[in-house]
This record gives sequence, C-alpha cells and structure tokens, in this order.
Amino acid sequence: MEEETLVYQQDEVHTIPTSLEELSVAGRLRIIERRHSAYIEWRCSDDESNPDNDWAVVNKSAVTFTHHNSSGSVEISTPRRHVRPISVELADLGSYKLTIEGSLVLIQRDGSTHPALQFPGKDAEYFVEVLSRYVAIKRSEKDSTLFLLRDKKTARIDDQLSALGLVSHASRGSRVRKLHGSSSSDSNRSRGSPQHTSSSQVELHSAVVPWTTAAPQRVMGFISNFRRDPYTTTLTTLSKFYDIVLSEDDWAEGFVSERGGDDLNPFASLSGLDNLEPGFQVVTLKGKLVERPRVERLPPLTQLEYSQHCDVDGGVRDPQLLKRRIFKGGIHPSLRSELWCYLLGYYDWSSSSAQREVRRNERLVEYQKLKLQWSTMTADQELRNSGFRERKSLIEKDVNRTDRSHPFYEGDDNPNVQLLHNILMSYVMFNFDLGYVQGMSDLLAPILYVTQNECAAFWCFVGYIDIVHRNFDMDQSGMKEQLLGLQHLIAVIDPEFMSYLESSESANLYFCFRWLLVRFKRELSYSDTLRLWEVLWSQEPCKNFHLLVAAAILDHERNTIMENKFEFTEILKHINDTSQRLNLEELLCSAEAIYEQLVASSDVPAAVLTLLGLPLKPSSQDGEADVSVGELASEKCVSTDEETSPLESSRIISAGPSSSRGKKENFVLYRRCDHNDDDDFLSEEDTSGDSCGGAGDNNASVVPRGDTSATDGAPRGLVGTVTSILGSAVRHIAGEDASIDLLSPISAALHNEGLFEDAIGQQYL
Amino acid sequence: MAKTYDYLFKLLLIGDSGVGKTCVLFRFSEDAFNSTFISTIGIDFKIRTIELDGKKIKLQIWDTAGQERFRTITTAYYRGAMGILLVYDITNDKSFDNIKNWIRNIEEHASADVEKMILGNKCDMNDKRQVSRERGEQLAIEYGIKFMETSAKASINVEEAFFTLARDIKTKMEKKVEASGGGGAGGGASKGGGHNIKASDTPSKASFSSWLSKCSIL
Repeated sequence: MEEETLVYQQDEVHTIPTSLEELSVAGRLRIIERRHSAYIEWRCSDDESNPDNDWAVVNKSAVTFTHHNSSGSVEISTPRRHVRPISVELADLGSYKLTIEGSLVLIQRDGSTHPALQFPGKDAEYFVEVLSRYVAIKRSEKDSTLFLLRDKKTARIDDQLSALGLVSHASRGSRVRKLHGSSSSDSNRSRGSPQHTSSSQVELHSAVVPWTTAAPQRVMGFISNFRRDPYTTTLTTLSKFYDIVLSEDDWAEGFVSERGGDDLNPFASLSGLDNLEPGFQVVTLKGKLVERPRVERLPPLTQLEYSQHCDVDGGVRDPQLLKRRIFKGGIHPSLRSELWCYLLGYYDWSSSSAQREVRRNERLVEYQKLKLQWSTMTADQELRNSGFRERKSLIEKDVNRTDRSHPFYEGDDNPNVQLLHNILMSYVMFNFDLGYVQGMSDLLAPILYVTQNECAAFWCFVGYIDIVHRNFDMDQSGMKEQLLGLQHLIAVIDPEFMSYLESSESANLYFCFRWLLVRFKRELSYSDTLRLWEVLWSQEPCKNFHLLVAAAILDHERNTIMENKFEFTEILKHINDTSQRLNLEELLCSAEAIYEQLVASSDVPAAVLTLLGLPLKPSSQDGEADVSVGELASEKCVSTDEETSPLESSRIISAGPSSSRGKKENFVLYRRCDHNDDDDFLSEEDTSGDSCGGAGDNNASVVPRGDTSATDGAPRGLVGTVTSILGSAVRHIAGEDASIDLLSPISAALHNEGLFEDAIGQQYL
Repeated sequence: MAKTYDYLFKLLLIGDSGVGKTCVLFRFSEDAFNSTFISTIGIDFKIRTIELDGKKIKLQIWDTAGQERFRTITTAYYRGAMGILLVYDITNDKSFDNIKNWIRNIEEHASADVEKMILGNKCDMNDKRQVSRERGEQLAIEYGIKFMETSAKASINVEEAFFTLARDIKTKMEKKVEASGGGGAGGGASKGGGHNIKASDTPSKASFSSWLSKCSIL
C-alpha cells in the first residue's frame, strides 16, 4: 500500500436526495495526500444501510483503478443502485459548487460532475480552508455558489500581473459593481434564489482569495486571449470598439439613463473577455427581452378540486381551464390513471361516464385484434418476415432493460415486463412503419405503471406517440428540428450563452438529445417524470413547452459551463452527470418564467414565436430580427460543415441599425474560421505585407456601420490606447514584432489616470 | 495546472443494439456488472486512466446507441476516435453479420488509420452460442483486425481488450512521432507533434485538434 497522509476528514457528509424516492446516505469526506498529489474522497459510511436510494451510478473518475482485479469485482445483481464512492485528484478538479446551505458538488475539468454532498451543520469552512492550501480558489462572478480552482503557481503569476495596478483601486468598487449588476441580477433572477448572495456566505468563504472585482481579470483575460490568438482578439475588440464608438450618441444616452438598471445595457453580453475563444465568435447586442417574472406553481390537482370541474354526467365542463390547472400543479397520483386517459386522447373531455364505458369496450376489442395479429404469428411466418423479426427482437431486448430498478418492473419474470412487451408488439401492428424505436419503451413504462391496465396503457401510448412521433423519424429530422428550435430559443433568451456554445463547438446542442428523445425521463426521478409529462401533455401555455424546459435546464447550467470553460465533450459529460439531480419544480418555474418573459417582450423573433405557437407581434414582423435568427440557423449549419473553407465561413450577418426607438437591436454575427486554420491565416497575413489592410479585407465585419462622424465623440486618449494595442497586435501578426507589446501602451495608459478604467468601464475590453 | 495523464486516447464502442457495449464499458470503467442495464440513448462516455510503460493514458471511451435509426447522430462521433471496438453478441448471429456493416460505417465516417478491434461479447453464455469462435477469428483475419471473445458479466478479456487497443494506438502514435524526427511530441509544441501523428487525416474540427493537443507528451 502506498503512503497516504490524511489532511482532512469529516464524517456525516450526506448525499442530498432530489426526490422522495431517494434516501440520504451518510459518508465520510476526506482529503488525502498520496504520491505527491492530493485527492478528495467520499465513501459511504456503511454500504449496507442504504438499500433504497435511487442514485444514478456515479462516475468514479480516472486515477484509481488499483482495486481492479477479477476476484474482487463488484456484481450488482439487485435492481438497487449504489452510491458510488467519489475520488478526485485535486489536479482534475476544475470547480465546485457550494451553497450557503452547505451542499457541495464537485465538478472535474473533464466535465464529470459528482452528486451533491451535504456538510453537517451546513459548515464547509474548514474543508475550504484545507482545500485552499493546495489550490487557488476563486469565486465566480456570475454565480456566487460556484468556485473555480486554479493551480497556485498560475494564480500567483496572475496575481502579480493584476497587482500591476492596471485599474486603480478606487475605481474597482463603484464602477465594476455597476457593470456587473446586470450579470448578478441575471443569475438571481433565473435561479430564483436570492439567498445565495447573503452576507453570511461571504463570511463562510473568508478563507478564499478575495477576488471580487472583475476589471483586472478582464484585462488579464484580454491579454491571455491576445497571446493565444492575437488575430481574433484584436478584431473582436476592434469590432466592439467600433460598435461603441460609431453609435456613441445612441449609446451614451442609453447608458446614462440606465446606469442604475443595467439590464438594459445593450452591451451586457459583450462583457467577459474570458469567453473569447480563438475560433469564430458571435457578437450579439442584447437588450430586447423584458425581465423574467417570478412564477409560482400550485399544488397538484386533487380529487375534490377535480370533481368541481366535472358536470353531473361526469364530463369535464371546461377542459381548457382544467388543463391550465394541470399545467400549474400537475395531478395528484390518485387521479392520474383517470386523467392521463384524457390528456392522451383515450377519452374525450366532454364524454359522460356512460360514453367512456362504451369507448373502453370498443377499444378493448380493437386492442385484442392487434394483439392477436402478432401473437398468432407462427415461427415459420416469422422466418419470412424480417421486418417483423427485427422489431420483435428490439422490443425483447429493450423491455428487459426498461425501468427494471423500479419496483413495478423489478425482479425476474415480472409480469409487467411481459405487458410492456405485449403493448409494444401490438403497437408494431398498429403502426408497422414506425414500428419500434429505442426510447419507446421508456415512454411506455410510466404509462403502464400509472394506468395499471394493458388496454388503457396501449391507447394512451398511442396518444403519446402521436405527440412525439417525430422523435423517431427515420432520418432523425424531427430531433434535428427540435435541437434547432432550442438553438433559436437560447439565442434569444441568452445570446451570450449561445455565443459561448458557438465558440466551443457545441451549438448543435447534441448533449440535449436524450432529454428530447424520451422527454427528460432519463434525467428525472420516476415521480418527477410523471409530473413533468402531465404538465407537458396539458399543452399549456404554449406549443413545445418541453423546449422551454430544456432551455431552463441549460439556463441553470450556463454559468457552470461557461466559467469552467467547458467545450463539447465536457458539457456532454456534465449534462449527462446532472441527470437525476434536477429540481423539477424549480425548472418548471423557470421554464414558465421564460415563457412569460417571451410573451411580454416585444422583439421576439418570429421563428421563436412560431416555435411556441404564439401570435406574431407587429414589431417582429418588420423582418429584421427574423432575418438574424433565420440566418443564424443557416450559419450554424455552416459551422458544422467541415468542408467549408475558412474564408467562405468568414462572413457577417448584420441586420443593420434598427428603425424603431433608436434602441440597439443590431444582430451582428461575426465569424471567423476554425482555429485549426489559424496558421494558414497568419501566414497569409505574413505575405500580404500590409497586414492592416489584409485584416480589414478578410473581415468585413469590422467595417464601420452607420455615421462615421460619431467617432469624434470617443475620448481621444482612449482611442489612442486601444489603437496602440491594436497596432502592436497588427505588427505581431505581420511578423514584424515577435512579442506583443501590451505593457507599454498599458503603462502609458497608467500615466493617464482613469484611462483604462474607462476602457473597461465602456467594455472595449 | 499539472496534467494528471500523459496521453488522452479517444475510443469508441459500436455494434448492434443489445450486444453489451454499455456493459463492457461499465465492466472496464467501474469493474462492475449490472444485469438491469438500460438502453443507451444518444451518446455518453466514461473515463479511465491506465498505465502503459510508465505512461499514464487517459482513455475516454464513447458509448453509442446501437439502433440503426440513431446512426446519423452517432456517426458524428466517429471522426475524433483513435480506436474503435466493434462489439457483437456470440449468442446472436445477426449482430455478427452486421459487423461488416459497422466496418463499412467506420470506413465512411472515421479517420482512415483508426485502430480497430472486434469483440465477441457474452462468451460466458456458451450454451446459447450462435457464432463460433472460429468465425469470429476468420472475420478478424479477413479485415486484418485483432479479435477477442469477452464477457462483461464474467469479466473475461475486457481489461485485455482495452489495454491491447490502447497499446496499439500508443505504438502507432510513437512510431509516427519517431518517423517524423521525434521533435514533434516534445514540450508545448503540441500542434506540430499532432500534425505529424495524423498527417493523413482529413482535417476535422475542434475535437480533432483538441485531442491532438492533449495526446502529445505534456
């Protein structure tokens, strides 16, 4: 056994159940030094004490595999899931989330995300203190519960750089706070959890390096981006610079009047140079949506309340009202088996009890016919029917691995598994062309569990597939359309995040595939799945509400994704790991809030209104905003097209200055090539001689728009500084100057008190 | 931040639905077997770091949905793969026949010099065997690919399969580095090393460049 030093140990650290079906499991959290590395480990105190918890299998990451040997292997034959131990080497730990309530989520650099752990007495102070001996900890500006870890050495260099005093201390507090008011209020609003910012949280993290001001980081971010990819950084900065300088009047007015409420600052999305990736980048001018409202949900619909919706014959008086009610709170479990039959079209809302009885009998006969068709198929017949054989074999494979850990389906020879099989086989006969596609058994199992009736489950399943059949298109076009719709939504709700996803090769949103295919069933506990589905089936308050739910999840994860600088692989891992850990009621609140926000906003693009089935508004029919989103969609196709040459893909979409209200509504999409091609680009620049002109030619996007005379409005000193930096970059690109001379203009600027402050304040940087 | 590994290899598991891809992966990454598995929807991956000749190799192993319907989505992940494990079920003739289709798929979508390996899984279920070991071997010889019979359940050959594939990739990579003068893989010049290693590749997107930069010696 190798040598270990225990440096931290805490017992009674519990897992946090996310649904009623789970139990909390106690464990021991430790920090251990081993072979010159430090590890964070968590282990169940007693493996036998937690038979009923329903945790997803936790990815035990990398590093440890010493226990692997054939004799000592684990065999999990019971349907229960185990809480897997956690072991993370500190160098692999990218960040953690720690709330004021003392819940800790460890997030690795590769995106692996561990289940939440609860500190006893909500007190994680000592843990953080020990941790800070090994790594530099920095609290995220955007999310006060997120803490980013860095190597101490790197952190020290950065500290030294920021200690150069690029921004005067006096300026940090006031101005920066104002600038970041928008982002922090943003996170509060969407999270609906203002308690995260309480003062005790700050005290809790007093051991953490204080690093609350954004400005020095921004400059550092700029410099590091500059070193990595001077070309893009320069041009991006230049284009922002022009955007601001050229529309100075317009902007100054808005800025002055909106200083208090930064939500309307059209440049909110331009902040955060950290996000500038060396590839292409979308620069979006935000400021169109109204603030997201706070939404309350209701308790589930009860029997008593339901009976008030029914008339004497047992029909529902106002189906719309009832559906609205179901949307707001879901259905009490005791009522589900009946109401699901309405929601899924097995019963008519207006039907009387007697009519429903008739319907049931008719449908039973029909079902039995279908069932007879496949059950009487002889082996000989099957031999000549490969289509049937294929469908049958897929179904047999899948029913045996559908929800087998749920009590209703667990154990050998469970008759309910046979029922799943019967219903799916009958569906093959009902709709042979669609047949059986993986995912269908996931959609059926909860329905059979709720209805507890083979025939009713079949017809409800038919109703469900009618809703989601496009998920199973042969060419997957239905799935692609939904992903595209989701892209449109994100682009409107959170352009900054969409731009981030673009720059990290993730705009295709493939990591949402599983969510959409089986309507979040794999992400939620069983009871939450039932609740979500009935809410979605209410078809309130709009079409495609499930995309708003997806947007709400992404909204919840956006800071973690962006602050950790996750790219596609890491995002996928992170998203897959957050399955079974979502808080459904919170998500439904924010999904509805996003809906309300879109309804109340005047400049929602037609593509999004159509997606949600909302009436087109006059202001969105002037075509401008629509163009940008439409184009955005086609642009994305380009971005995934590997054959496109860098120059071809370097283009601009600009909707031009908006006509109405003088508000910033321009949607500028500025894209450059993949960073793979950086070398080619740079070498082209080398030979061009006049690199300045070359840069301009290749990137029409930075060509000034609008009234050039407005340039005079910019402070001269500032222009000088920026120009000087850009000049240095251009020389570097042209190969005249091996090093980028950033410090001399910066130090020159230092002589000019407040200059950099201005540059940062106005978000050129 | 110091890296906790020397190389990152991206591997991919493909094969018909229900042949045990997820189980093989689970056996390798968690050393466990769960008979109540669920079908894979979309795509996921697991990570395990192994040691070969003193080098820490981080294996990022992608697991895909087997049903044909999802191929338009899953083939998008072929490109970045450095090694592909083709899995069939020895108790299912059809899954064996389909290996040829899967190989065609690889030829279409994966990079040309990707390391491949055929696995006949569920070899603990000899009583239900439909595909003889010899047929498996024959097919592998035909394609010039390594072959192993495995059992995720009984933990037979799973470790060996992944280690063999990883070793082959490592050998190939180091040979290419050597052939190109050996300078490529040194220090932070990851790009140079990367290009040498996969010079024959069609240039793919960031996945390509990102794993390349990671697989050079750090």
